Amino acid sequence: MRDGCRGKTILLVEDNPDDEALTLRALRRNRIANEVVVAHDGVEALDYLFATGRYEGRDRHEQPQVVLLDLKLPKVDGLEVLKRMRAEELTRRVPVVVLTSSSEERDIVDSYDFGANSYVRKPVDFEQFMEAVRQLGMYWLLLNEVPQA
Amino acid sequence: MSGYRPGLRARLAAVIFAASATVTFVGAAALYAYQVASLRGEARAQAAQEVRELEPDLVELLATGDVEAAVGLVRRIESGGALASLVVRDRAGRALLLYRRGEARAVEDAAAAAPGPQAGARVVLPVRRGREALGEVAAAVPLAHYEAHLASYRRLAAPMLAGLLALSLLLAVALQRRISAPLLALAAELREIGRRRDFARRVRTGLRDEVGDLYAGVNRMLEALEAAHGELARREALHRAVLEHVEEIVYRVRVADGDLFGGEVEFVSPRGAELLGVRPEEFRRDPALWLRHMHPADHARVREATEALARGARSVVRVYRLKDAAGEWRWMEDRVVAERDRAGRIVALTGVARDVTPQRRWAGALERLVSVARELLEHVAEPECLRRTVAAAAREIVRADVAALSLREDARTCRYVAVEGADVGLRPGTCFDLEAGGLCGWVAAHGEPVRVADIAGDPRVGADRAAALGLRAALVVPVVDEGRVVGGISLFRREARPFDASDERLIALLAGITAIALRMQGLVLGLEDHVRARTEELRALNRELEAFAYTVSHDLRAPLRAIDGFSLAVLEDEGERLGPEGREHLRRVRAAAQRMAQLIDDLLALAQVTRGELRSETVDLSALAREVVEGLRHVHPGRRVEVDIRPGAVVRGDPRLLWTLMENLIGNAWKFTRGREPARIEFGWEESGGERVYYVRDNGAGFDMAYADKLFRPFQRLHTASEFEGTGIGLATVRRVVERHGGRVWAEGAVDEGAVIRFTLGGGRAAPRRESAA
Repeated sequence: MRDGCRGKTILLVEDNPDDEALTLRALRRNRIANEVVVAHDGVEALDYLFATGRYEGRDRHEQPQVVLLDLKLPKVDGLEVLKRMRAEELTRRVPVVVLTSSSEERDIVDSYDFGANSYVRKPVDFEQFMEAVRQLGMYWLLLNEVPQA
Repeated sequence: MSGYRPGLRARLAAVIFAASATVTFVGAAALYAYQVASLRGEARAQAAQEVRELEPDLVELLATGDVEAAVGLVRRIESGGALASLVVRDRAGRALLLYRRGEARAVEDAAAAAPGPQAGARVVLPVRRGREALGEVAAAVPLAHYEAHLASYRRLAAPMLAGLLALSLLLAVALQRRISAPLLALAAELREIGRRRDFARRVRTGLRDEVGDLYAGVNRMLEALEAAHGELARREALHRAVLEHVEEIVYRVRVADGDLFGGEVEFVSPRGAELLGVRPEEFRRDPALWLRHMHPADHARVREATEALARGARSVVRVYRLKDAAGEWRWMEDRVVAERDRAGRIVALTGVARDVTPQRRWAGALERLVSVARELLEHVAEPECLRRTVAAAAREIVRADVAALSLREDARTCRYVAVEGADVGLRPGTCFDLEAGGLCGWVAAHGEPVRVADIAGDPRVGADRAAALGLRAALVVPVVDEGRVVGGISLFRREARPFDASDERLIALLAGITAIALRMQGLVLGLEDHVRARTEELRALNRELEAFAYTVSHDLRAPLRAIDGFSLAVLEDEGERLGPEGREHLRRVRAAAQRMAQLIDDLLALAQVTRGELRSETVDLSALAREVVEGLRHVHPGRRVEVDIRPGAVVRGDPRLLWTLMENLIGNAWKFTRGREPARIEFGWEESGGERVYYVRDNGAGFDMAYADKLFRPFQRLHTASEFEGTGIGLATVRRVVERHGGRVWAEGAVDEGAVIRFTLGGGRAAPRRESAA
């Protein structure tokens, strides 16, 4: 939607294939046409972000427009991914929306402490979920301004 | 010896001599007088004889008066005889003839005639013829012859007299000896007895006279004296023994001019000098000695007490400290009595001063022990502090230089766990072998205390170790718990000033307290360990629960989301093909999934109420109620509900939990008043039994009181899901919240008549400590 280094990519970090499929469906049903890259665990997410491992050779400077991050992930959990992102100059200002099942107070507090931009609890009611995704897309993909790297 | 007057002997000799000399003189004088008288008699007899021889001539003369006759007579007188003079008178007294040897004359007038010759012996004789008296004649003979006779007699008498006097003097000297010797012997004997004060001696004599009686009298007197002296000596010995051995200091001070402090010290019993470490005579020399040994802080009090005597008190008790020979302060209790003269002036003070230091020490030490016990109780969970407290208290109570507490590690070894006092060879942490001897080993083996005046001389310690430690006097008391020696309290002094029996008793008390404290420490520490272990267990459990809850919230919801999501996807994508029944089934699948999600959320909320720290903050329940109502009005804009919230329900508690509480109560009221017109919800409180009872009242569906006890149990519902939705966890959560705050919750109601849920918050048990401490 915008020119520059930031592409239109959305990075979805989600280990549960059901949730992945439902999220993709929700995005699609909300007519969000951005390319969605799915990472199934923390390591994959970090590989993508820093162009390592499977994503070696990718242009590191092209960072996703928003990262939808689940917290409970195999290998490296979501909070760790968030921490690493915020520690690197390259990914420091990439918007991160924590999208998780947990409504634990501690998870919410930790997420914001580590620099999450938003925290959304995945509702069980898919209609509500769709509504949430619609608002996310509206906000993070259309309204939110990020500094130009 | 009386040298200024004659002695008995001289006086006796003089008296005897005077008597015999007087007798001699009187005898000699009488003899002489007799001689003189007899010589005069002889002369007068001669004169009479010669007159008688002249008688014829005299008669003739007187008869005739003839001169011839007179001449013849003179002739005859002159021819013979010794007459010196002769006077012849007639009957008329007229002198007829006056003759003096060598001269003779006829006297015409006899009356005018001179008296007859004076010298010599005179006789007057009558001259008779027959019976006829013719006249008288006076004749005298000269005494020269007799004078010569007396003179020769005197010449003879003088030497004889001198001889007699000398003889009587010798006699006097010899005689006085017989009388004076026994008396002088008696005098000498008495002098000797007096000098030797030997009243048991007796004087002896063979005499049975008055001197003998005198000796007997003297002996009786000596007997009485001996008895009296013996009694006196016995009393004095008793007196001395009493004064020398009593612990009290007995004294007497003479008071002059009302000066009660500077009088002359007449007497102080030996204990006084012993206590102060002075020579007894120093008291007499230095009246201020006593005051100088007194503690300066006690002067004013002593002065005040003493002055009560001056104001008329008969006796007072003065309490003060004296510095003894060792430089220690001794507490004295001094009862002093004033002696007064007739005018009421104090002339002397007699007092008995008692050393009450031990009693005072006991009182002080017992007080200290009580405070130690309290300290030990306070620090019973801090082993290091407890040990140091014991050692420090022991050192202080008996004024030792070093105090150590040792505790038994096992059967053989003991360890010094605290050492208080001067820097010596004893180090805390040092281990020692009980079977290797030593005082501690002995005490541990015998279970009784030991006191040693100088450890250098004690075979259990030995001179080398004593010298290395630099300590002399020692006291070791075992710490015994249930008949087992668990340790010991050791006390030492640098000098060989031994610990006494009261030191030992005091430390034994401390050891008893220590044993109890150690036992308590074991219990408390054991309990603390137990609590710590349980707390750790609970924490682990809590962590597990948290992990479980996390998993539940995260992992149980994901499949539900998939069920719901894909059901919807099917409905959206294939709805037309399913037909109405298929769509209804999928709608039910989705509803079930959502209900389960709600159940999970409620369960998690309940779990959240149970775990986690309880915070204590000021919370306004009224404000919370308003917020909840606002939220509900927002969600259900179509409902008309009258809400009455009494403002100012400010409590202390956990804000998050209290939010859950109000959300559930008001949410319930909101839910169960559905269909009421108008619906009413009231929040307020009333005071009951000294506590504040909050309530949420509604005019909703109410409930049957028969099931009131079921209300607060999880998953218990009184309504069907079709009547009122819900999981049955709300009130269970309410009860958890209330109980965690120390309160109670109960419900009242009737079917179709609304319900009242009342609760207390336990006076804020969530934060009672902090509030009362503030």
